Amino acid sequence: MKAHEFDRVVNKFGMKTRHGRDLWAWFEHEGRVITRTRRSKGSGDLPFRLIRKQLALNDHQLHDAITCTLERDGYVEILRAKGLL
Amino acid sequence: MPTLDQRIEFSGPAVTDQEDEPQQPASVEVGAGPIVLRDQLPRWIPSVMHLGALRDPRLRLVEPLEAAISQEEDQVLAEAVELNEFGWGANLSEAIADLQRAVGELYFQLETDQQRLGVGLQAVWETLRAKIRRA
Repeated sequence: MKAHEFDRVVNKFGMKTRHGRDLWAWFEHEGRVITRTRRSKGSGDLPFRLIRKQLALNDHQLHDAITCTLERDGYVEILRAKGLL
Repeated sequence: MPTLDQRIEFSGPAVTDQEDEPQQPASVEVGAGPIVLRDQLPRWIPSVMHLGALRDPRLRLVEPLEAAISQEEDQVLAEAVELNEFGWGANLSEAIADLQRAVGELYFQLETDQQRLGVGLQAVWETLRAKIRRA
């Protein structure tokens, strides 16, 4: 997973971010923090599988998020179906 | 009573004094193909490690933190499965150091937001509280 793909997902889901040593991102819904993830600012690919786990998505869903066919509303429904909301 | 020398038996082939035949240096048959010398040792990594400290003087682990180690392409990944957190790097040391830093940051972030965590992150926070104390 490339850094720009990570950033696209973060923006698409409307995640809040904090810049430190890494870029931290967390997803809030109705005032509650539901998921969070991060990416390093170094070069190299990000570990797709582990970021997917932190976002509570499967491979297909994260791929859809990267290609912009899964947006915030769809993500909320996925989290609701998993009992995370 | 036999002496120690007399009690020792040599289990290999019998040795004879052969001073009349000069010893030849050992030799090895080598095939005709090219000989490739490695410029580095093969990398071995454990599948699991138990961390006893974090890279933050403000935090102290009171229980070891298990990290599952894996390799993907040219990266080493260290995953704290019970915390859903990971570190990665070009080698095992970098991956462990990244995980230690990440867990420390995660602790402070969830501590700040502990009153408004969803169910998944609430469980992570409970695990962090059980394993980590402020120094």
